[in-house]
Amino acid sequence: MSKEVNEWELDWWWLEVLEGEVSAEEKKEAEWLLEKSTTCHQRYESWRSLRREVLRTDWAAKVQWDSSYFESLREGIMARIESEYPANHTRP
Amino acid sequence: MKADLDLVKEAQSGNRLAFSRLVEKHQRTMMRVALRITRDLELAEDVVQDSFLKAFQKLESFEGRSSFKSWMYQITLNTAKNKIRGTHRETIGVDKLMLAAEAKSEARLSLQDLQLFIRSAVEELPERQKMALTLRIFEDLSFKEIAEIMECPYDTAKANYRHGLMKIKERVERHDDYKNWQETQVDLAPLAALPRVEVEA
Repeated sequence: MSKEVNEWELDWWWLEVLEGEVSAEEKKEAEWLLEKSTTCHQRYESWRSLRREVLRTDWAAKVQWDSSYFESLREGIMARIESEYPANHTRP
Repeated sequence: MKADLDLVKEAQSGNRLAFSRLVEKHQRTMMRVALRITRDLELAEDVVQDSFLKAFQKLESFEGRSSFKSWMYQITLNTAKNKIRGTHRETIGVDKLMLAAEAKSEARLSLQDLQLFIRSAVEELPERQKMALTLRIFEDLSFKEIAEIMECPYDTAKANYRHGLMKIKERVERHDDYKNWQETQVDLAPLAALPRVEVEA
């Protein structure tokens, strides 16, 4: 990040840092900046917070399943396979 | 626990128990993926069943260039999209939500509103951006895996993700009521209760 960068590129760069998509050298630079600069810390934090809030909207991950649900789903899948492609026949 | 590739090889040589193990390992993830797209438990279940059936049918052609998991993601996403094509679903739009939010006048918008706002913003992203973003944030996949699933170069997968997230950020920051959203800490448990999340317009 040593070259001159504009605001937009800087914002992208902090997202790259958050996603672990920077080199080891850049990571060190980011750690230093996070420690020394409030502005940099805010840029980084805005991505981190947004990512966290987006993750919290994932209702599908929080659905509580009955313990037997997936066992019967698997059985259903295998029964369909057995019915459509009986084991004594050749594979499709 | 056997690796997926070993199980695939065994299944390719006719071992159905091996395929059953693959179903067991991945059905929960695929159910989650299908649910996000269909927003309907029964429909999602059909998608997962059909997807594993398709995987079984095409197993011979699986060469292991990507992981079995990535391959299953691809099949499930395509099956889910085909399943809902043509079905009419009412989803809450960001504009409608903003109008509803404005109607609350004096009361400060709750943190749950912020979550709804973000969720709507995610829903309204262009399909490829939404896919990259949900695979990255919800499924915690690497950009390499996302690129495999989306059948695109690594940089394209990353660009789709970044543009999607940037759009959401811009929308949130544009909205007066959410100016200080970074300081919010909210548990979204009330939004997560049920698989059916159709929102009446």
